[in-house]
Amino acid sequence: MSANDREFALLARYLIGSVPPARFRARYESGCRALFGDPAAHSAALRLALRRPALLPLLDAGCALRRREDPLRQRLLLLTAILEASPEYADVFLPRTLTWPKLLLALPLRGVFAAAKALAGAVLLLAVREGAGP
Amino acid sequence: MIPAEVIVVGSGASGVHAAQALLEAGRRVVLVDAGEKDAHYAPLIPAKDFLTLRRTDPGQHRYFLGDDFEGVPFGPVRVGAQLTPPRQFITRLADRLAPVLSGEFAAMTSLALGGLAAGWGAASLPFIDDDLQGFPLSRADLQPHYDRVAARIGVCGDAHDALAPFMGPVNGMLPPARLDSNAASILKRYRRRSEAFARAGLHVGRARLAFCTVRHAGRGPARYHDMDFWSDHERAVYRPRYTIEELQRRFPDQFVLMMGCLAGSFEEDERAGTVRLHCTEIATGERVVIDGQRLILAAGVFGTARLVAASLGWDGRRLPLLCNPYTYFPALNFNRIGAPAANRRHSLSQLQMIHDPDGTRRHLLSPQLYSYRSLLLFKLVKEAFLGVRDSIGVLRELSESFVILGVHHEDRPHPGKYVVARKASGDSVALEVHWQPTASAERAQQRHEARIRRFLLQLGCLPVGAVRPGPGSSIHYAGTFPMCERGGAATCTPEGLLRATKSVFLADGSTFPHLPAKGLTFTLMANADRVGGAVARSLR
Ligand SMILES: Cc1cc2nc3c(=O)[nH]c(=O)nc-3n(C[C@H](O)[C@H](O)[C@H](O)COP(=O)(O)OP(=O)(O)OC[C@H]3O[C@@H](n4cnc5c(N)ncnc54)[C@H](O)[C@@H]3O)c2cc1C
Repeated sequence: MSANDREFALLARYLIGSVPPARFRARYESGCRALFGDPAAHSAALRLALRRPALLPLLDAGCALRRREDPLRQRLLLLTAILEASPEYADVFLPRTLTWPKLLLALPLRGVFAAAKALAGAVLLLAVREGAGP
Repeated sequence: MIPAEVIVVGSGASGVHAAQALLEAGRRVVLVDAGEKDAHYAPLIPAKDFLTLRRTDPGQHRYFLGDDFEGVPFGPVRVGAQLTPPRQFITRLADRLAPVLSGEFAAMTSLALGGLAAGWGAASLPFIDDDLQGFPLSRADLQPHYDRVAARIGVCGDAHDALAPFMGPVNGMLPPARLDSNAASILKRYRRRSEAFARAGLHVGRARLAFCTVRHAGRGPARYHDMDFWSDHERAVYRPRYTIEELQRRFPDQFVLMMGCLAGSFEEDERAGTVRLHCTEIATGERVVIDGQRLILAAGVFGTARLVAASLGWDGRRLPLLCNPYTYFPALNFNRIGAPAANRRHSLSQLQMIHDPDGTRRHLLSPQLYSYRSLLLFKLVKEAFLGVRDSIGVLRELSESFVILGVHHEDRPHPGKYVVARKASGDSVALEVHWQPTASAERAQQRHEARIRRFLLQLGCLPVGAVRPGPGSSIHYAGTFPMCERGGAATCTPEGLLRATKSVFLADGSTFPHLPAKGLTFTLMANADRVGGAVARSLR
């Protein structure tokens, strides 16, 4: 498996829980080339996520707070767009309605978790300096 | 050399209505336009509703994201971000051939068939006398032109709702567009307390849109596919190219359309009473000369400024510039959280509001309420401060109750806001915009926005931020050659004649001396119809 294959599989599994067919990988790669000029990422956060997939949720949350232009976040967003614009995965992104009681319980819980993750991620990112080797 | 009675530059909202008035008065017209088109994306989009396309079309990534991923923007929200890949042809050629330079002001200009209105939001609000302060015109002068333009383009809305006193009558209005679930709940809430809101200066009604809710002039009826930012299958939203097609059909012997031509400059022969337009064919670089008795410039505010400066040698001359400051408020509509929303809807503005902050009607604001769906979730996710995966989870649940309130502020001329032409290579002219609004205007905007936020809360919507995409972002430009009863060379007569010339008329936003906080395009079209009529009469 090449480095790009691993990156695609890691990010896709994180976003939707499975690895999509090869044509999505090709689309992802041409997106990286078109938007970032380079299919290979130069980001300490992404390199760390590739080595330690379990840290990806923290790094994602941390980047949203502290490094909004980080290649890790940008690549996650690109892959989100690609998956969203496909009949296979559209339903993962289309609006979902919840009942009020569920919303009242689920949303605050999710908010608390997300905030905790963001804080932990931000601290983690302090330790992950740009330019640090893999 | 091509002879014409009247040459019109520009196939945008202004140009086509000036041309129509001339043709209907029996004049021969040559209409020149750079004429960029989209032949790429339109054929890819099936005539189906948004949800069906999302669930069934394997080719959707091509138009939703763009073949070069031009629909996946990174960086801060900027002018033009609202243009989807199938609409980006509107600015493509202008970015290359007619750029506008500015540090702080982002100008969106078009060299496309139909101009900026090839992608406009269709909000069509007439000006009332209070909006026309500083114009040498009254609503009564514009009324027949509003009525004529409304009959051509089809304007829907409710002529009798709370907005009526701020709009005045417009003949032949089409039934209002169907409301989506968000808008219906907000309007209901407003109506329950409408008197209290009115006392506080807030009036809410149905959006006034150039949108065929019923079959009209061979267009529509709207099928509510929620694809209005992407495709034009049933032609429900008005686009100037429909007028061009109609003029070609109705006036085959009077009307010549010259697409693919870039106008560079004009010169007058005062003795002969003629005007000559110098153009370049974009594809071949060949020079084309068109002679006429009158020239109407409707090239958009920047395009017209460029042509006038290049022709009259106005290198370094400052021309005043107006542009409505724009802010939008994303908000959560608590009335709808957890409730399923109807699929069939349109993507344009759902509700129109008018806020009269001091009760004088002299500083009206006209916020517009939109729902968010067809621009896809990833754009919302990008703006959120949660991780991407968490944002998807949360925003999916909230997106049906997500609304956006866009607020335009009025704009008046000030020495700190101007455009200046500089001679560039060959005979081309570069435009530079300088934009330094006054602190007092900005304070007034903040005060008004604070009230708008409070209204949102009272209507059951929680604002979750305020986004100011920056100067230029309203895409409502005006004011470079203001019309006035008396003025210098760089002003126009009330009929649109540029005073520095004998036979050159301006029919776009260049002549508006002030910009009320209402979309200007309906008035642009009405005024262009008026100028076209005046030019036709001047030839008798
Ligand atoms: C996304 C978007 C949403 C909008 N929504 C609204 C709305 O809801 N309500 C509203 O009131 N307004 C709206 N607007 C603004 C509205 O589109 C413009 O005010 C209007 O289209 C301006 O029309 P115009 O004909 O004066 O100029 P333009 O649209 O700029 O047209 C100028 C024309 O001249 C041609 N041209 C220019 N220079 C040359 C040259 N040298 N040679 C040959 N041809 C030339 C161009 O090709 C173009 O066709 C919106 C704009 C955008 C982009």
